[in-house]
Amino acid sequence: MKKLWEIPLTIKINYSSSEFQEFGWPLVRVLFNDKVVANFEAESDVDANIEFTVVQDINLKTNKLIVEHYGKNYYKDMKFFQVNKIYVNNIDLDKILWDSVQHRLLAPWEDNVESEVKGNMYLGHNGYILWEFENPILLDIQKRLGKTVKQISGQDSTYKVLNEVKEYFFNIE
Amino acid sequence: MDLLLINVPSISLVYPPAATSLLKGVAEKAGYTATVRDYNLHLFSPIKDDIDLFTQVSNYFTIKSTQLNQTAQDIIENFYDYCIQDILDVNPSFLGISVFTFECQRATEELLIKLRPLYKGKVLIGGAGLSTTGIAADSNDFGNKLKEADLVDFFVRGEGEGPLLDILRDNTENVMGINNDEYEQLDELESIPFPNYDDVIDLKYDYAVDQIQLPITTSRGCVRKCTFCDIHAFWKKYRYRSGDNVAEEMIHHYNKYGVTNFFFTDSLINGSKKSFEELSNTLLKYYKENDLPDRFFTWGGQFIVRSEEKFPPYLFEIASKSGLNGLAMGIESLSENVREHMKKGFTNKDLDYTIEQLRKNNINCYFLIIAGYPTETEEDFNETLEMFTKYQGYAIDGTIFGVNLGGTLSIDSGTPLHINSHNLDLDFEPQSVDGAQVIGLDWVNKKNPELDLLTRCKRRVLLQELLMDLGYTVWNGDHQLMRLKESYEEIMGNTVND
Repeated sequence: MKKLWEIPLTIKINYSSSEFQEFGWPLVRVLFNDKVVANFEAESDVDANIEFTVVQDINLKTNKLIVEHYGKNYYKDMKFFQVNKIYVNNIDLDKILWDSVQHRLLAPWEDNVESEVKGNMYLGHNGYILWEFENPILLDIQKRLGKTVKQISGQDSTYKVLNEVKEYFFNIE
Repeated sequence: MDLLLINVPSISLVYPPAATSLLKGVAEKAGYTATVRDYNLHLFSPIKDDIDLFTQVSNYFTIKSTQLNQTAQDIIENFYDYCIQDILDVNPSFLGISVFTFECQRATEELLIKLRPLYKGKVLIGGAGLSTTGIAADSNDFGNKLKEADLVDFFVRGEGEGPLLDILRDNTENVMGINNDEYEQLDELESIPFPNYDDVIDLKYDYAVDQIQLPITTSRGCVRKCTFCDIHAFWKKYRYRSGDNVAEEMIHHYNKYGVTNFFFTDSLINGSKKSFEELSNTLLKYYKENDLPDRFFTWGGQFIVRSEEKFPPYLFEIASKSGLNGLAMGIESLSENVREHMKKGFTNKDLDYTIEQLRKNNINCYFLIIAGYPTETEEDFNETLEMFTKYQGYAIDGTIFGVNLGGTLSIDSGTPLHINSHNLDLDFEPQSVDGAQVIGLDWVNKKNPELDLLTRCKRRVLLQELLMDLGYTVWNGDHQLMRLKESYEEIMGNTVND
């Protein structure tokens, strides 16, 4: 039986991007805990998906998911990349998407532009969007989605009772 | 007052009990005065936030070996005193007690022992709890026991609407269902008046949805004949109300009480595709005509898994728009082999389809599961574990909002497992009984002998552990495990001949 953190996570990113231009499609890479897990040309000006599978590292305090737009020449092209949706094992991250920080590499002339912005899925600059998840990731997602239903009074299930009863049954010869 | 109808511990607090308010409506339509008291709520409501005390008092009614501290003892003593004084104050000609399940037996009996010498009216009891071994048992042990002890004047077997009026009219001789175990099933559910919730609508139930929720019964019986279930034995025919009639009741309660949230008490709400579709469309039409948004009402209940061919996507879509949410689904096992023997009538593909439709249409659901079915092998059990791992995402995003594992399989009287137990090679455990019709928890399948009671208990525990680890919300696990442990001790300490 797999432990929770051993369950592979299939991450699907639904995106839009700029049209093909003289300097090609937007270049994008995705990093999970600092390892490149996808590196691609966003060859679509309508919705498209990129999907990959990762395994979380239970030894890390937090897991980092990074979507990076790179290779844009600020002087010559108008490329952009936009994240529309992210699914983890088919779970729509929904509002968690906005719980992220975009780090931009600004053009030399952009004196009054913030280099960090929260909850922005549009990558018009070179730069990246960072999402952080606690371990185990799926339980963190569950907590943040907040769609669990409250338990009825007195109908709880606790590890305390579970472990007591487990010990009882598993110690019977 | 002609009739006082009461609910006694221990039942859920999630919404007003259906039966007493339904029977109030029946009695009033026939010209009698009737009132409802929910003594169960009266007992538990003040202590529901004190988990230890709540659990102790609740367990008193359901787990024999429960030890009470002084506070709990006082609460229960005061509770009975309160009930008795209240009944005497109301002074009804008839007192009706709803014995909803066998978990209401202790409170019913203890209350009547104290009340009977003081109360001069007639006492009647009814409900599924009249029989300890399942509603379809040939004879009801509890009803007969109280009648023989002269604690009640009447017990009512089967549906209560007709016999109640017979009792009120003093027409009780040779009536099916009154002080006997013969009963007739009503054919016309639409002839029953709508329930009258006037006496309970303002009470503070522990609504799961943070708003008032009312129960509605739209059908009786089931379209399937699962081997472990006694519903089809109790209600021989599946009877249902039209979708229009059900919508009419929902609109009636909305107009009268402002209630928009309903839970259907039926064994299944999609037994009739026609009625299900009609209800969805009637509600959507009502919203449109009254300039109300989609999902203005919310309705849910027990739901069976069907194939895409039999239950196509458009039904989920219109039902969702009309407010369908909060389904309880008797999945029972995630092993196809086990479900096939159970005669559940759906495949893993059908389940995949259904659960994905629920997610897509923003409808949440609750799984009912049995760990330790007679044919369940180690491989089948592992398949269930794997499938729950596969379905984890639905628990994370709230599509599956809970799982109820029960104890482990207890074979009820009247179920195919009970009736055919000899042919199925089921026998009592630990002591064999020749030609036995097994009942309860202490059975073994001679064709699958490794699945003894201890193995079933272990699987039940392991399943809960996995589910909790994966982030599923397991409902009522503490209580079920404690009761399972007590049952195991009882069985292993006593043989069937004791």
